[in-house]
Amino acid sequence: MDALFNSFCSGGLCDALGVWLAALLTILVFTYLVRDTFLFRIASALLVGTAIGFVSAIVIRDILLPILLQLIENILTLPDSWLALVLNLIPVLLGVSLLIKLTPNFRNTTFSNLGLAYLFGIGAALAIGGALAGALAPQLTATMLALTPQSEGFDWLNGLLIVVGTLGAFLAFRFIQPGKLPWQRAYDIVTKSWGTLGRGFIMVAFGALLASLITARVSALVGQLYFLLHDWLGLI
Amino acid sequence: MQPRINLGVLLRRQLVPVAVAMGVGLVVLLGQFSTNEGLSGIVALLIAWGAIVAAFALLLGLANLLLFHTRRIVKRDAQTPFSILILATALIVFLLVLPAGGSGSAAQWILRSVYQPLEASFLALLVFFIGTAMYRALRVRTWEMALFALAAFVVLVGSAPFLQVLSPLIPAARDWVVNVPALAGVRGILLGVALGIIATGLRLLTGIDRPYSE
Amino acid sequence: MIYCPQCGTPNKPNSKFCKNCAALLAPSTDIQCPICGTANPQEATACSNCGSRLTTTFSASSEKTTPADTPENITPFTPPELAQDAEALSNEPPSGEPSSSRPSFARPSSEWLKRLNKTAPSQSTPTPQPATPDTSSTAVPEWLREIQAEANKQAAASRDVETESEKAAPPIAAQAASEPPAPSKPQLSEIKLTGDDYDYSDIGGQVTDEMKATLEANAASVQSVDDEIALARKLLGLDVEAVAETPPPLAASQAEAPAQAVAPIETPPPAPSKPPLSEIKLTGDDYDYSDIGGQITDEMKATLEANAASVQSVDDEIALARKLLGLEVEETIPAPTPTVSPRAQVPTDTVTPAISEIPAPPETHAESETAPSEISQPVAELESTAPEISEITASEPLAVESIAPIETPPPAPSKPQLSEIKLTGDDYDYSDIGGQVTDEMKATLEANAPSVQSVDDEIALARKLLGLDVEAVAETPPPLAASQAEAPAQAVVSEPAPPPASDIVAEAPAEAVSAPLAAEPQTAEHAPTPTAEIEPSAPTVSGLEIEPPLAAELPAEPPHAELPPIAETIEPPSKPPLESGELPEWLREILPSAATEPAVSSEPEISGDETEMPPWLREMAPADLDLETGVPAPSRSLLSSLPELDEHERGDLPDWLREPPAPVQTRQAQAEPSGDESREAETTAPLELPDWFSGAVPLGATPRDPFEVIETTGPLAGVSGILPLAVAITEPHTLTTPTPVRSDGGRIFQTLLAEPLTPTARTEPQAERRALFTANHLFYLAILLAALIPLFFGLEQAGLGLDASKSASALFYDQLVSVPPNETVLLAFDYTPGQAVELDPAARAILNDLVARQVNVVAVSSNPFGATMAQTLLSRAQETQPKFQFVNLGYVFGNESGLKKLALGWVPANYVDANGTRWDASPLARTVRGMDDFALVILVAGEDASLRAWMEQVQPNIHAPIVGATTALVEPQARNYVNAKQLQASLRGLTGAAELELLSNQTGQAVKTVDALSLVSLVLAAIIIAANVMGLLKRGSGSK
Repeated sequence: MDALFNSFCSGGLCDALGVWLAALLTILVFTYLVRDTFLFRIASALLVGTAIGFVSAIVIRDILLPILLQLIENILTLPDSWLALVLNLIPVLLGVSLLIKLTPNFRNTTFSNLGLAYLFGIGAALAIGGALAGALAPQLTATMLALTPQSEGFDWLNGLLIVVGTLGAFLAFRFIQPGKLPWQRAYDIVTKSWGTLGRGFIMVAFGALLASLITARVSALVGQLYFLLHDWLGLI
Repeated sequence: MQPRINLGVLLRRQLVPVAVAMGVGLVVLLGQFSTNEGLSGIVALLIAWGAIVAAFALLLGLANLLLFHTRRIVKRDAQTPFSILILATALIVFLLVLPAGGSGSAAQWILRSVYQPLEASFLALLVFFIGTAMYRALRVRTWEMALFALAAFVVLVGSAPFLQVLSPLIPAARDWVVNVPALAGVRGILLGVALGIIATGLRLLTGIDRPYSE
Repeated sequence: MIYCPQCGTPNKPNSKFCKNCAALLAPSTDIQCPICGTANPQEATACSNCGSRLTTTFSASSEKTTPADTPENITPFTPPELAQDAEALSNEPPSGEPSSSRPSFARPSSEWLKRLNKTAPSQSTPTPQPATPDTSSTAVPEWLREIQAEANKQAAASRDVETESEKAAPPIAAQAASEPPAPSKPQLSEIKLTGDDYDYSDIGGQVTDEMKATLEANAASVQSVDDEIALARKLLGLDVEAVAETPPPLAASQAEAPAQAVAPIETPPPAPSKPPLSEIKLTGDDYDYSDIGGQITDEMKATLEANAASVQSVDDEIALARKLLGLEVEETIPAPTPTVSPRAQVPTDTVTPAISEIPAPPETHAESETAPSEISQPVAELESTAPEISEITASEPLAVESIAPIETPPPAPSKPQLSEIKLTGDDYDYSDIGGQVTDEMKATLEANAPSVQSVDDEIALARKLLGLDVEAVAETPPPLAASQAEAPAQAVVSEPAPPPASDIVAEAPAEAVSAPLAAEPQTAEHAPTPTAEIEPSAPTVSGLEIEPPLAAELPAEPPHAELPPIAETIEPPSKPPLESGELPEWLREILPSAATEPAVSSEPEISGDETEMPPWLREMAPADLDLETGVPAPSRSLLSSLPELDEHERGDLPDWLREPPAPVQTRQAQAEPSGDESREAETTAPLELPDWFSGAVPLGATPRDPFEVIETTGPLAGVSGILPLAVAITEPHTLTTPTPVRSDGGRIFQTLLAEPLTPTARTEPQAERRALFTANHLFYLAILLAALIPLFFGLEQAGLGLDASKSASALFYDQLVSVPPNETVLLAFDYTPGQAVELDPAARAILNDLVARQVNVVAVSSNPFGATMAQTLLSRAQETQPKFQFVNLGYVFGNESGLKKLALGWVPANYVDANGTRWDASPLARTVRGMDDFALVILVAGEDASLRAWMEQVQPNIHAPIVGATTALVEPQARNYVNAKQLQASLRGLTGAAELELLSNQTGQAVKTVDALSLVSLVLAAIIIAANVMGLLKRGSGSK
């Protein structure tokens, strides 16, 4: 098929066709600025369909087929490869148990829950490990190290601000009833004040994120316009 | 009268999946912090299996999507033509991509000529709506909104390179906002998210939460 | 438990507010045990503490106050016209369970009932209440009777009524031996007179709980309707002269005999003390006198307790019990117990001893002979307490279950089933003969059932009960069971005129009855019927010349129907029996004076037309409501002052109230025999409907539609399209616990109804097409122009202002150039095609630099699209540099698992890359065996999730430096990782790509488009400013 496609697309035909197609689809999407028309919905449907087909092909071709082939090979080389067969068969069975979820009759059977349970177990373990090793530890370390002046200038002040802001952002999500003892009330006042300050840091972060989002989307807009003007129309 | 508990059913339906999830999860978690060779090997095997099962999960999602649109076609409602288009496009793309895979010419052409312009255009549309939304919503009423608007303004203005010509303080301000207060806020959120992940994961591994069973 | 009417949450019994929604709670519906006071569930039949039988109807304590102690608007309720054809209606067998077949109307939970209870009687002198006023169903509305009945019962439940002891001494003695320990109330079916609740309002009085208890206790002695009527009358104090003995002591809560009722009683004063139950020693507990032939009701028990002082021996107790039960009618007529209003709250000590000392009526009580000695003292004492009692309630025609002698002839021995009477299908619907039958009346009917041999007899009896044929009342009704002989709603039914005593209704003298009645209308409503307790065997008034109803006097002796006359207000039954349309004395008392005056002043009008509504009821009905008798408007004030019925209370309406109104024609036909022409016009005249009500058609007109149903009867005669009320009413009504959904729905509906009518907003029809050009398009245009202008009119120096040396991109570039040639870097393409617009320039710039320095690249991606995009870029790069070596590992599936596997174990040797080549066949496989073998890991991430996945799963497990080229959206997170040293450097989107291009001396798309990016960013920043400026201006102009 690929060879056929290459032969069909030889001479840059497909490139030109692709440019026009891309331009047309871009315009279809931009029609939404005028009104929500069926053209926009066609573009949406094409997007979804393309994604489904593409991912399905990749998954089947690059993942499932090799596994099935491996299983077949293990079966054919039995009994020497019984261990390999078992080791290759188990994940396949677990995967098949997931697919059984599509059937209404066996959706809630024990077997159909096995694959899901396995995924949840693995995912939870990886998530915990990643959060501990990849987020908590380095971030906390960095927060503590920010207090140590690394260089002259206002770095120490920035570091202090980072520490104060980090802890404040943390305390902004504190929902604990204050105690009745004086020290508990004082502690609550301090933490609430700090949390309020942290909320300010969070709002600054959100503002920065909004600006970053705008920048990213503007980049996409500019890129598409550039494509239209440059690659399609050749105006620039 | 209390319903009679069928121990066999309970075992099968509740305990087996829970045992699988807890067992596998705890082994993998321990293996991440262990240097034991044997355990590392088991962990690697379990993780490899997990990758395969995750691929099946991806397939499950795709199949569910196909079923959904198929049912809509059968139901023949207003969205049926679009469902037909979706399934037709999926089929065509599938047939074009399957032979050579992701690195094939067809896949590259489809991605470059169909998927990329569509997705990029959808993302580009947001710029216009963000602009109108900002005009309506980004009005300073509280001190938090003031900080929010100010930060957005500073970062946005600082992202315009040619304003650096006017003053170097503009990009500096932007950098400071991003590297100090915004960073602090993001870090606080990140820490909170990490703790939440740990708590949720532990609940799963201890069997308190069992989203995979009935 | 109290269930919240709003949300249905169960609350503790004494809760006033819902614990869930804080809504006001109705009083607990739990039933209070009359013996030990324990609150029991409503459905309980026996007390969980002492085991005594519970009266399901009136046993709940009314002492709990509820927060809603405010007057309520009481809308008048007009009972529907009764069905005419009595023969067509199947006689409903007397309900065995008075409370089960017809739930009590006046439930303990009725807030307004409590308020009624608290209302002081306006009249001090007790009026001889017509114990069984001969008012048909029109005399006393069921709800009114039950109000009083419940109030009486509640009062009785908290105090011990001793009136039963005297009267029922013989029956008690007889019964005590045989009855099981549980003081069970005799089944109402045994009495067969009243359908339930001992509604003797028809015989002229409101039966209190004690009276009902007495009636029930004497149920065994009640052989016929007459017996019951006589007993009820006695209990109600209607037959004063027949009561030779002071009525048995009332229960403290219910022995609120009006002074008038007590005063004329020459019976011995009540005993001063109430001996504890254990002293009686007859029954183990709970006054279970079933062994002596009757079921003991709570009122009876109260009476027994009240009379306990007079009970010296087992025989005395048995006699007393028998009297109360009405087993020995001729013997068990102690001095009529003064009917007291519950409000009077005569202490049991005061009243009951006196009453307990009331000797059995010498001429009537055979049983009383066994305890005359015990009773004589109470009688004397009763006289002494008469003033006290008289102060309590004058208007209460409570048939205190006194043991007053009943001079009426003994009741018939057997009580036939109501079905045998066959007059009314059920519920004693005598509306066809001109009146509404009250429960008391029904009880009387049932009690007198043996004497009814034919339909005519029954009609006559009913008429007497209804007060239609006063002169026909010749017999005292047999004693009624105490618990049900609650004095007919003498106080409840405010008859404008004392109804002429019929057989059933005591011929209350106008003065005797009306005075207390009029003075204390409200008290009579809720006044319990102490006579019920005092006289357990209040005679049923069945076609007897019932003495003037003792409104608040001692009830008649159990075996006799006549109730003891109320002191000075009770006159001999010289008046004709109450006819329909005339209010019994007891009812008159509770009516407003304006309403009752005409009736009070006038003699009971004997209206020949049974179908005509008694005046007292007429007065209660709405003015525009064309009832049978056309109740005058002033009387509506009473009804309007009565509380509204909630749905449960409406569901508790007696059947006669539920039954459809009789057709006008049939009423007219019924009216003819009575000969009252005046009422005919009233009955036939339809309602004057407003103009807007255009559904009415003239009577007799042909329907416009063959299927159209035009109402022919009732006030809505002539109106079409009306829902069949009869059908609706006669449908079985079930009490359901309000669910939160229903409660919410009802509340919402109520709120909607309460809201004033507002013109509905007219919804503008949506335009089919949106306008092509709106204000938003201005923004769009501005943004578009800002993006296009720099593209069209590019600056000479593209990327103006870009200073890569001072940006973070420089660090990234440094990391990039630090890779030595021929080394291998891992390039992760973790972005989607949509993000490729922003990241492809960066990826190209990176690749170009790597290719230029002959660095090998291993490409990988954690999403399916990345491998394809990587292949495109790598292929193009290889085209520019053929020596460039790369391996595209393709899509690493499994998300975190795949990345973790990659980080831990890299790829196996047989791994097939995106181009189909095995890994071990690649030249790079010799130098790369794991991720640590890479000189640099370059992560091109388009989303925060992929960046975090790499940072959490890969970075902790490798030692190779990682740099990241991200979109502008992910830049803040990337900076965080850079700060945490998880990333060595980061590149920010298109700007970073442009800076990298500049640093690497490349000319790419990024530099050309960054100007447009800058201008659009500035326009959007200007929008932020404009938004706030406009907001400030609007705020300023608004404040001005």
